Amino acid sequence: MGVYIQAAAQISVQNPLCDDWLDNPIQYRVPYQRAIEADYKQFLDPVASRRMGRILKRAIATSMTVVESSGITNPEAIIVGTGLGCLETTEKFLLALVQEGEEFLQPTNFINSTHNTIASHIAVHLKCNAYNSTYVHLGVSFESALLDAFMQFQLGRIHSALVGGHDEMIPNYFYILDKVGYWEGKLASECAVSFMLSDEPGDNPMALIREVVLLHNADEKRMESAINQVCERLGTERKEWVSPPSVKPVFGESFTSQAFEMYAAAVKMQRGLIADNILLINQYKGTETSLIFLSKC
Amino acid sequence: METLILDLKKQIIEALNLEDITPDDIDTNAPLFVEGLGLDSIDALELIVLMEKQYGIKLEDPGKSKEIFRSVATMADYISKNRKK
Amino acid sequence: MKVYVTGFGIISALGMGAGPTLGALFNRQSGVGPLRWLETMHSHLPCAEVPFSTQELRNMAGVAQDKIITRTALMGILALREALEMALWNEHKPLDPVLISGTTVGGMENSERFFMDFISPDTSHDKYILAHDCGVCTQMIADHCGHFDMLSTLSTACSSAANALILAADMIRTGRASTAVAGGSECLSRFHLNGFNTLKILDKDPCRPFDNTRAGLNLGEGAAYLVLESEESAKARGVKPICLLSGYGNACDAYHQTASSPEGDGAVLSMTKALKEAGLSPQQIDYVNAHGTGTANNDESEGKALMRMFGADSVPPVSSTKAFTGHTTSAAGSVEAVISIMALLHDFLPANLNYSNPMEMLSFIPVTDEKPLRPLSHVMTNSFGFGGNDTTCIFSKI
Repeated sequence: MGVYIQAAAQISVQNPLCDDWLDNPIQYRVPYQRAIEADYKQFLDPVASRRMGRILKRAIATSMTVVESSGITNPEAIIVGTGLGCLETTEKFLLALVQEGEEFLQPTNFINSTHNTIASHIAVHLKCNAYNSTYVHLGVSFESALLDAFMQFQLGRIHSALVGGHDEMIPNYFYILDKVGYWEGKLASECAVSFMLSDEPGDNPMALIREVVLLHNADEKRMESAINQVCERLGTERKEWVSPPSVKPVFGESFTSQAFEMYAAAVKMQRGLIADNILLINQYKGTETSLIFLSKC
Repeated sequence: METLILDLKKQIIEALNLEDITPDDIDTNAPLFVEGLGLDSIDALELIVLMEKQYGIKLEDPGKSKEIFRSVATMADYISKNRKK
Repeated sequence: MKVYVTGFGIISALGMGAGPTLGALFNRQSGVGPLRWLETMHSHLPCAEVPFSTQELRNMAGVAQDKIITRTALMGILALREALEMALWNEHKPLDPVLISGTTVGGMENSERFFMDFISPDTSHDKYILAHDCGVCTQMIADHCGHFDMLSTLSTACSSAANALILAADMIRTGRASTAVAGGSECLSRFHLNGFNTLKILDKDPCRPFDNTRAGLNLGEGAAYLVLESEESAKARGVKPICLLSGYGNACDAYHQTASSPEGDGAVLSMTKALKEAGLSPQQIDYVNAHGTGTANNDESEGKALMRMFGADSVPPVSSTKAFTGHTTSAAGSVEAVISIMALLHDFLPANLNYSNPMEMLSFIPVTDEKPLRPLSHVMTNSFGFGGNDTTCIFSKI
């Protein structure tokens, strides 16, 4: 059993909605960098999108891009992973609350601060009534969303799914996390990646997702044991699975940066630039681990 | 009244985050909701906040405020009669 | 594959534990009242606070004084602990336990207090920084109570805990876990209270779900968790199943950020999916624990959805228990699941408090008398979140 990645799109610190990063990645020598925005007018009417902060516009733009490339206009699930949600609007509401008090607060900022507003905006935009969920579990938020989608396919409930990893980083929050040594020297950045998944390959599939596993408080031994169990189930040997170098130097660090790892692996797989069987391992701050098994189509 | 109408248009643009729209783009007498600018229930709530913050007018019920918010003209008229700031 | 409930735990304005909760429901004792702990200028708004201070919760949970923890996590620990005890967790440890939790607030109750310090060079409150996000809250709850192989955290507003239940059930159905605990926890915060207040959907009086004069909701807080298990695991651990989670469904209204579609499209879809999953016809549902927040929009939309689902003349007994517990937002799905299960087990219908005036556009009135006409076999519970995240769960007697 496997799930095809039919299409993928990104907005990040690299040029948006394209793969310029592959041959000519923009180099950054700063600790913090916001994403390069796409031209959202091609996706959104400016008045209709007046309330949307950057994270929402990026989510819609990347979602519409994969809808168009795959031709799947009504996905049977929309599932998003976001570690910190809509920080910009959360901060607006919170700052107004703590600095100006509990009068004259703006409802728009509250509504667009909830984590699930991302998946909800995508659904409203696509007029999609299908299964809709949002995961907010630290550095494995994207993988949690992916696991849910994978299970929906396994249970035969869906044939397509729009799955995304979305996180933004505002200056104040960069500073806050920096104070507690969170970044560990990595480039603090933002993530907007959408994937269109399907149980059918479509015209030009990028990669096949074979399995997704999440572990809590797993040491190396438990992690390797979980990997071996999957290998056995898939009828493969451990040594067939290659873990490529991380693309964090290209895309930076965010709670959902594993979405970039899967994105980059899929792009490279489609072009024959990477091994046929890839194992993406995320060991987040020693507490949460994810494993994504990807194979060439 | 002219000044009030111009100020009001600027405040509406800011409160509702209407980027790319200038006061000249807003027809004073055109409907604000459904047609015209096509505002919705959340915008109505934002306008209630605006009324209180800028003009000291408290409107508790979004439903009853429909008439007041019909157009910039009706808003300006209500403000000029009821403002406390 | 069948998914059984083998334990549950709950804390809310009705008190700590299943016992006090059931007592309050039987005695029609609402937990809605004046605010005691939350400091806000909106103290006139009736809310449903858990009747313990954060310090008391810390003592009850046995969390060391110097450990950074949030009120949301403390309530979660207490509810989880009760659920695990009921499921004989420590006596017969499950093989591969999973915990899925729903929350939106996370550590906001600390962050809103210390945010100005966070963004200044002042480091005195930096220890609260990493406690802000939702996932950390789940870790706090899980790690205090025992070992879990896998955790995850959901946030779909007011349907978070319900979606946690269905993710957990799916983990069992796909063979990824034999035991999966799921639910949610959410404490009151100024952020939340003010947020809802800006939407002008908070009633200045105790809420009146499905009443024609209803004027909004009362915010509440609480936590509830259910232990879900495969038949094989329950047998192996020697635990007697309590009931079945026989069906569930998730759909998106996709209409508007805060308003539900006038005819309740998303709600009809989630209820339809749940019935299909359970293999039940609408006539087999004996009771619906509605989302029933008491807002003008929800109750009309949900009411119409119920009429479309069951037929205008054959809507089963319906009540909202939010006049008891308040709207516990992210925890509502599991708080009300526990209430629904208790209704199922005891064959009683929780009353829809504060009801006097029928809604003109609805063909039914909610339950005001606990006596049912028949014993209950299947109960349905709805949770509908902002953003159109609609989820329905069905629990059945074994």
